[in-house]
Amino acid sequence: MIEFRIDRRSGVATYLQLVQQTKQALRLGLLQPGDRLPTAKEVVAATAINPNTVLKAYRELEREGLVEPRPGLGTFVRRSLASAGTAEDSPLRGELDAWMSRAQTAGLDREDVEALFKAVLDTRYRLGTGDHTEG
Amino acid sequence: MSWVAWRQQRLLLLSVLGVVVVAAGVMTYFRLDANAYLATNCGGQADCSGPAMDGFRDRYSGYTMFLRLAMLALPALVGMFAGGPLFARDFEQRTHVLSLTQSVGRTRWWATKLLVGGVPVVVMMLALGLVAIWAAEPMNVIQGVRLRTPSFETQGLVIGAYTLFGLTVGASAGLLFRSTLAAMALSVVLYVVALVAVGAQREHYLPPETVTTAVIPQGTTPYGPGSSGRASSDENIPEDSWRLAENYFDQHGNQVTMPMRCLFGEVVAADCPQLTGPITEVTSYHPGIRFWAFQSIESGIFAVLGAVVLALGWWRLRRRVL
Amino acid sequence: MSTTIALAAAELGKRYKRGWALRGCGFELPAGRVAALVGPNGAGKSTLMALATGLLTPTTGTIRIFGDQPVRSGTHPKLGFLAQDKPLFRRFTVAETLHAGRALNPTWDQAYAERLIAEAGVPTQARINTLSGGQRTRVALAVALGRRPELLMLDEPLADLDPVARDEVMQTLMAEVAETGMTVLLSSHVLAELDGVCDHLLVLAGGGVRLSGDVDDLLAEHQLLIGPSEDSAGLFPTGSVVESRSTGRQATVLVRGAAPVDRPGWVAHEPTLEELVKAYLRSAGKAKAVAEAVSA
Repeated sequence: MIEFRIDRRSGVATYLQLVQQTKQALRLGLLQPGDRLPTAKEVVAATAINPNTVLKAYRELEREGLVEPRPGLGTFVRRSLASAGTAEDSPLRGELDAWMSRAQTAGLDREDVEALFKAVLDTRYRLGTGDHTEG
Repeated sequence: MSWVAWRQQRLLLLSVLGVVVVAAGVMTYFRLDANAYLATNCGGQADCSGPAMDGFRDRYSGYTMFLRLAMLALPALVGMFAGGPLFARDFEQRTHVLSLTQSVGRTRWWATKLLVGGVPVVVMMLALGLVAIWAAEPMNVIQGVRLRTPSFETQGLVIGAYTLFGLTVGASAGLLFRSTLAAMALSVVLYVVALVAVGAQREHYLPPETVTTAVIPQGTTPYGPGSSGRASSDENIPEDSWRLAENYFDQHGNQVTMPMRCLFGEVVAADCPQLTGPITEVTSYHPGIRFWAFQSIESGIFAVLGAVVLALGWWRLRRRVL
Repeated sequence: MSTTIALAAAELGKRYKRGWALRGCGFELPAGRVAALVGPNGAGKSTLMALATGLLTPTTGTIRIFGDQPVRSGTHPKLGFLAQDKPLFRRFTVAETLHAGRALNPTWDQAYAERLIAEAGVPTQARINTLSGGQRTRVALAVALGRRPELLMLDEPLADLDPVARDEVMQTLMAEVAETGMTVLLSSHVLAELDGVCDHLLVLAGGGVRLSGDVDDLLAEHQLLIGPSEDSAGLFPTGSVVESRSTGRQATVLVRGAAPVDRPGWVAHEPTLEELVKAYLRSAGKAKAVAEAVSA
């Protein structure tokens, strides 16, 4: 079962941290369809956050079709986020690896690569879409 | 609520019980001891005379003195320890907030604590006062008149009444000042003040009995040189009476002042009342049989004072608890 | 979400000999929320709670617990209260403390209170005065929860607890909220303790309510704008500015309910809970200082 970790200094809303950590676990395959998410009581007993926040995060995940509540039983994972595109042996990953290798040869250090990557990411994926939807 | 009050006052209630039982035990022992002495040395007479009686006095005067001190102090101490912390400690440790934020109103909280923490104490001390009367019977010859200080204050119903008063002062002072120390100090101070002030009024509880104890013939000084030395006839006054005063009246029934030198002087001076005619001496006194009446009246006074003090504390509690 | 109001105040005021502790207070706390009661020391937080319990009576206005005004025959059965100093009878054992809770409350849930004590790992035969601060808080919490309140008020529950005890107390509290759905009003002057815990906010300052509402709504209503300071005057409609500060060329302005600013040089952020509360407290402090200067 997934265990949440809340960072109160991150500036990221608590429920969003729960959503992101759940998705991360789905991507990495730590959570599989059919797995039960911890109950609100289990989460707050470990993290001392507001149970309404847990419910809000679960509602958000439900809205995205990732989980489903089964009354009296708990909240269960419906589908995985692990996709062929992010797997370790995918062609996309291979291409990115090759690109990074060229950058290394060109003398770019880690920060240069990160800045470059983020600049392209920001133009391709407009800010405010995807995982970082507010409210 | 009563379980909480009992648990809070448990140690004190058991301590008072211990003190009362020990005190009653000591008194009982001395009563039995004194009766045994009288049976052996005086043939059972409580008022025998001579060396046997002197021995009796020697044997028990120390105990009697100690007992009086103890019985004067005990109501003050018990009232102070039972009343002072009753509410003040709650305020000091802020446990009144705990009690009063449950399903108990402040009046019930107040009344229950007083009933559970106060009534048993007063009842125990009342019982001790009654035991003191019974145990002092053989010692009455050396205790003196029971209506007078300090015999009156050290036995009987008043022991319970004094305790009640000290306890209510301590309890209400605790509600007013919220300090155990202040409440206990005030309890003792007011106990002493009340004891002295009420004691000063004791002779007025009932109108005194009067009896003619002497007639001074015209132109004589009853206790002057050459006179018989015993002009008054006290036979009409019971021995356990509390004698208050001798008053003098002329043949017309008017009260006159009788200077000491007119009773004890060599000659009858020009301003002595007996120069103009015979003077009647009337003695006023409270007979010893009034002991229970006086005990009841004094206990009633202290109970009323206690009720006033309690009402004051209750009024304070109604207005403010934080 | 139902619209039951757990705690409501209207024109609520309390005057002590030294002056008004609360004045003209009005707010509504909907049931089911975990609300933070925030304010500087002396803002009237404890007074507000004492008024709700009935320990104090209001000088003006009313306070209602689930619609009922406090009465003198004890605290409202739906209201549980944990005072700041967590008063307990020092010479009682833990078991006797629970016995006292049972003796003082007709609606006492002994099994529940015992479970909370067991979870806290406090030995039941230990005397209260031998317990640590964290353990005492757990026992006091068990007594407050043993009444099965629907609204639990806690006055600075985490003050003088070590970090581990703080976590444990908050975890217990939140777990019980998850289980029972009760409403919680939690006072604190340490905001960091409340982030992520509270979904409703009540800001008290200078004896009055400065801000109240659901945290999400409040955060969405406010914008924290940063831009050139020479440009800030007149940019925002009057009444919408909560606080405006400038450091040299840069101005930081917190506005409420204003339209998005679309002007070069200005960047809008959603404020954090802490930024929001601090801005309100600072502006209340300034208003008070101004009022005092005017009346002087």
